[in-house]
Amino acid sequence: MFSEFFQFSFSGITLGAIYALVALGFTLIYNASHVINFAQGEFLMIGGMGTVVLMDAGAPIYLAIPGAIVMAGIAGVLLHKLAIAPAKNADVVTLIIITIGASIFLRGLAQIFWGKDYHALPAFSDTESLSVGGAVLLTQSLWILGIATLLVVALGLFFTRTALGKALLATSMNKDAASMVGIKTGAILTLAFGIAALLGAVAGVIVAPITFTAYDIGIMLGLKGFIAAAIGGLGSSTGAILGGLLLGLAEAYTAGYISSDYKDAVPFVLILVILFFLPNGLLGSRAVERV
Amino acid sequence: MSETLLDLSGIRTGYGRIEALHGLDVTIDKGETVALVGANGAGKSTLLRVISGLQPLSGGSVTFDGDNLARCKAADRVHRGIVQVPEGRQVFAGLSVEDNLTLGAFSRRRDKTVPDDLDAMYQRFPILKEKRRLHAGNLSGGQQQMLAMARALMAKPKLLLLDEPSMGLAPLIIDEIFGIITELKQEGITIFVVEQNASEALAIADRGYVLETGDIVATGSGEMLLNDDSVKAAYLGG
Repeated sequence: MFSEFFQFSFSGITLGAIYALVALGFTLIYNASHVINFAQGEFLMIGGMGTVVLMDAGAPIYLAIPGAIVMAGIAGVLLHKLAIAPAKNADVVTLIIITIGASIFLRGLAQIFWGKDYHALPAFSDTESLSVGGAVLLTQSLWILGIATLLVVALGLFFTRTALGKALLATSMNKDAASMVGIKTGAILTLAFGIAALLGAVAGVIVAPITFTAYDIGIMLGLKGFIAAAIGGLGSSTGAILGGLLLGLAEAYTAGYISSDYKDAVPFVLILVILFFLPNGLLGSRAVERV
Repeated sequence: MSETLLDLSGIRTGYGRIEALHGLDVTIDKGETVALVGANGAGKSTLLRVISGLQPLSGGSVTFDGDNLARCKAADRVHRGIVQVPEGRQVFAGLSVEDNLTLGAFSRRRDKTVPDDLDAMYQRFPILKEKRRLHAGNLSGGQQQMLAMARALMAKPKLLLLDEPSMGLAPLIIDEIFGIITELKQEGITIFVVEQNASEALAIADRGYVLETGDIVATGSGEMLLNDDSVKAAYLGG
């Protein structure tokens, strides 16, 4: 009874950590530009598939992973420079549609050059699972939780301790005022896309040993990450993490106690219910403004 | 003969197909305080946005310290010393007062003297020191105006652009703000102040310009404009 509950909770938190990372990517770009970047899921694909391709080419895993993550970071920067920045004064909806186009483009490239097969990465540790309270705990889950926590802490330090992080926050709060203190707001946006891509790629790599990776994993993972961000309250980083964990747990419990057939429906039911009662999400912006 | 710091010549710009400024000329000498007065919608803020590089020109040129700024982006202009205190304060509401001030010095963030300047700023504005850990959005309007000015001063401006510093503030606070502007003037900072509150602005200015729907219609010393009958009738309530 309890071992079952533990089991579902383990897998829920593991998935939730992944969704949280994706959601943080959405939040970052949304805050910096009010754009919902629907290409966010493709960064996970590039992370996972890039690692697979580099390993096939003979690179050891400890080089293939950083290589794939850098590849995704470059893709994020290029996405901003080549697709978003040239559209300059286009309205937000146009920019969002551009990101949808970009995601189809990236997926297409991956399909052509990297193939349509599903791949599994080896788990990061040799011991694949441990037994905790009668439940099986995958060591990869520990990797995922550890790395996700590390990234969240690093991101927190970046925003509270560095001039660049604060400049990014300032740009998201007021772009014109940011230009007026000498912040290059265009470069800051590029940076936001780059960081979001890195977050996504890391999530894509660490989840690949558990869920498989392929050219089209970005659609579902991206959508779920977006839902996690929306549930948490778009724009709130804490909300994104909370939304991710909530979504992961809800999915795992549904799959475990009801049926895994309904697993993928959970996020969409959850977003309807939560946004119906809390239109701004769990931690949606209660902006402090005085005129 | 004093040296020209800012030379605007034939400035034209607009929003879409509507032209907001119709080729106007303004010059500001080093150390001068110049006021630009005019009604709402005359194009005052647009002109300041042009100088800061936030509003693209459709004609004319901006020359600062002898260099044409046509290819100089907004952030680089701050680096050169053109710093604006925007209309409506526009502090970074979700960041602390101290973060707002350090971001003010973003253009010279590798400069070792920034912490000293921060201390100096706290001495000039003790209220900001008291509230330095609060979010800027929690300050009153007058305090936010002081923060916006202090943030701009952190960039060590050669030319300080003030857009409606008195907007929405109580009369006592307005006096305080203009007191600060007078102090800055005495310290030798070149100031270009844009105001609807024409009498206060012209009173502290060496020279003034009157802007009406995108054209300069009068110019002269601050005192002269204050006593000009047509200016009086239009902007000073008779």
